[in-house]
Amino acid sequence: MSAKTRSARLTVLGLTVPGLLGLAVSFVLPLAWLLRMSFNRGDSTGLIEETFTLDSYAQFVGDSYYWDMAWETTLLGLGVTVLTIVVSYPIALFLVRTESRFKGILVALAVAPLLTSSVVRTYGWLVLLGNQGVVNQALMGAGLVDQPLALINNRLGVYIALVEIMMPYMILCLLAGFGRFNPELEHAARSLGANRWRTFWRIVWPLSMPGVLTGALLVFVLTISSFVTPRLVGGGKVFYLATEIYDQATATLNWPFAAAIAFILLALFAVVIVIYQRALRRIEAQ
Amino acid sequence: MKLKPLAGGLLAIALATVAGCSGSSSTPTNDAPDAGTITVKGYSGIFEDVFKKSVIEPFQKKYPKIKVNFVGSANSAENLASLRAAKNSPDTDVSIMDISTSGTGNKSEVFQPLDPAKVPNMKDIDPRGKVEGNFGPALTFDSLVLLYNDSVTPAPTTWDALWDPKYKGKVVVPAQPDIQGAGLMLIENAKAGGDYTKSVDQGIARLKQLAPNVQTWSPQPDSYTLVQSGTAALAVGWNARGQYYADESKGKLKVAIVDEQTIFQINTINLVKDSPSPAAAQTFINYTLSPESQEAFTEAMFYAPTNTKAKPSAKALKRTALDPAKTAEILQVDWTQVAANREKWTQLWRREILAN
Repeated sequence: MSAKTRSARLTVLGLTVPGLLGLAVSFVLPLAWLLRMSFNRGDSTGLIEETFTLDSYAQFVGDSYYWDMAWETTLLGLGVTVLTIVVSYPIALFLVRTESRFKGILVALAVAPLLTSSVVRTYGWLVLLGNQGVVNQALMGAGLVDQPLALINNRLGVYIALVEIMMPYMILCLLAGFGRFNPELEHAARSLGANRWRTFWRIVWPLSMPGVLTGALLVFVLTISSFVTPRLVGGGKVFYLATEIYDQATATLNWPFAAAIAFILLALFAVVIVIYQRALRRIEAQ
Repeated sequence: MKLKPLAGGLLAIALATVAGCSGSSSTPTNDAPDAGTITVKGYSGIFEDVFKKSVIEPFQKKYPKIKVNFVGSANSAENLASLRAAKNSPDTDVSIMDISTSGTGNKSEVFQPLDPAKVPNMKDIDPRGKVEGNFGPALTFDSLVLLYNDSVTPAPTTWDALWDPKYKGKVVVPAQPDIQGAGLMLIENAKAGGDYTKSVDQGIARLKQLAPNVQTWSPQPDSYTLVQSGTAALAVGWNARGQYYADESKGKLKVAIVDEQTIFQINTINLVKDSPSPAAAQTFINYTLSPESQEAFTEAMFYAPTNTKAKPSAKALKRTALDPAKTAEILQVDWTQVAANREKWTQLWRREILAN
C-alpha cells in the first residue's frame, strides 16, 4: 500500500469518526436500549419486569387488531404519497419552467411552510376544517350543504392535513430531480410529432422518476412515522402504528410493548427502503 | 480489516457511556428544610397558573429561602413517564398527579414515602385521600361533571343528555385511558346494575350507543375550549376547571352537577425517590396540605379541600366536589383496580366503541 493511499484513508477515517461517534451515542445506543426494552414484560398498571421474553411481539402478531393497524398505516403512507405527488408535480413543473422574474420568490413560497412546525400547521387545519371553520361556513353559506361536513376528527382530516404538510418535501425533491432534465428533449419530441400528452408520458415523466422516487420515499417514511397530525386531527377515532407507540409509551405506560411496535415499524421502513433501492436501480439501468 | 480498531473504539465509548449512565451518580443531597431549590411537576395550563398564584407565591413569602420551580406536564401518565425516564438521576422533587397513576409510581419506586414528622398536616387528611404506607396523600378532590354551551336549553340534569339525538356530532368525551371517559363508563355501568370489579360490559354497551353523537374522543386543545366556542354542545369534564372556565367565559360555558352519581377524582402530591432536596420538598408538601393553602386553592379554583380542618367559604364550597348537598352521590371507585384494568379497558374501548 502506498503512503499516499494510506494517508487518504486516514483522512477519510478522521473525517468520518466524529459523525460515526455522534451516531453511535445518539442513535445506536438508544436503539439498543429500546431493543432491550422490547424484551421486558410490561403490565397494564405500567410496571415493567426486567426479563427476556417475546411476549410483546407475540401480543402484536397474535392480534388481528394490530395487523389491521399496520395495514392502515401502510395504506396511509401509500395514499398520502400518491396524493402528494399528484398535487405537487404540477407545481414543481411550473416552478422549473416559469421564466417569471419572481421565480426565486415563488420557489421560496412553495417550501416556506417548512418554516412553521407541523404542530402549528395541524392546528391551522383544525381551525379551517372544523364545524365552524372557513370551509364549512363557505359551503353552508353557498347553500351547498345544510349540515357542516365532518372534515376533521376522522381519517379524511388526517389525509388532508398530512398531504399539505408533506407537499414542501415533495416539491423540493421534484425540483432537484427536474434539475437533470434537458428541455431540448421535450422540444425534440414535439418536433418529431408527439402530442403534449405523449411527450409528457414518454419523456418528462420517465426522466423525472428519480426525483419522484426520492420524494415518495421521504414522504412515505415521514407519513408513517408522523404521530402529531393523526393524533390531533384523528379525534381519537383513528389509530396508526406511530400514534399507538405514543399511546403505549405515555398513556398506558407499557414501554416494552411500545418498544416492540417501534421495532416492527422499523422493519416496515427497512422493507420500503429495499423496494426503493430496487426501483431506483431498475430506472437507472434503463 | 481497517475497520476493526474503529469498531473497537466505538464499542469502548459505548460501554463507557452506558457505565456512566447507570453508575451511581451521588448527587449531594441538600437536606435543609427551609432552604434550597425544589422542582414541582404538575398539570400545565390553567392548573399551573392558579397553583402558582394561590399556593407557590404565598409559600415563597413564608419560606423566602426555598425557590420553587414549576414544570408543566400535559397529563398524569406523561408526568409519570418523564419521572420514570429520569429515574437514575431525578431532577424533580415533587409531583402532582392523579391517584390512579401515582399508585403505579409508588409501586415502581418512582416515589418514596413521606416522613410524618416533616409533613404533620398528613394526619388531618380526609380518609378518602390517605394513601397506605405514608405515600403522597390527596392534594385535591374533584368530580366529573357535564359541561354545556349556553345554547343548550334547558340545562341538562342527567348524563342521559349526552345521548340525546339532538346533539349528534356535538358531544365531546375524552376516551379511556383518560379517566374522564373511564369515569363515564363506570357511572353508566353502575346505573345499568353492573359491578365494574367483575365486568364493564354494560357501560361499554351504553357508550357504544353514544358513539354517533361524539364529535371527538380526543378533544384538542381540550373539552372546555370546544364547549366554550360552541364547536361542541356537551362534554364531560372536571368540576374545578369547569367552574373556573364558567367564570372566565362569562357564562358561555356552563357546568351541570347532575342529579345522579358521579365519580371523585383525586390528585395526590408525591415525593420523588432520590429527590435532590427531600427536606425542602416535604416542607413544601406540608404547606400545600395546610388548611390555609387548601382554602386559598379552593377559593381560586374550586378543587375541594382534602384537609378536614380547611374551612373555605360556603359560596366556594358549594361549587366543589364536596358540596354538602351532593356527597351522597359519589360512586365508590378503587383506583388501583382502575389502573390494573387500564390496558384491558382501553382495548375494549378501541374495538367496541371508537372504531364506529
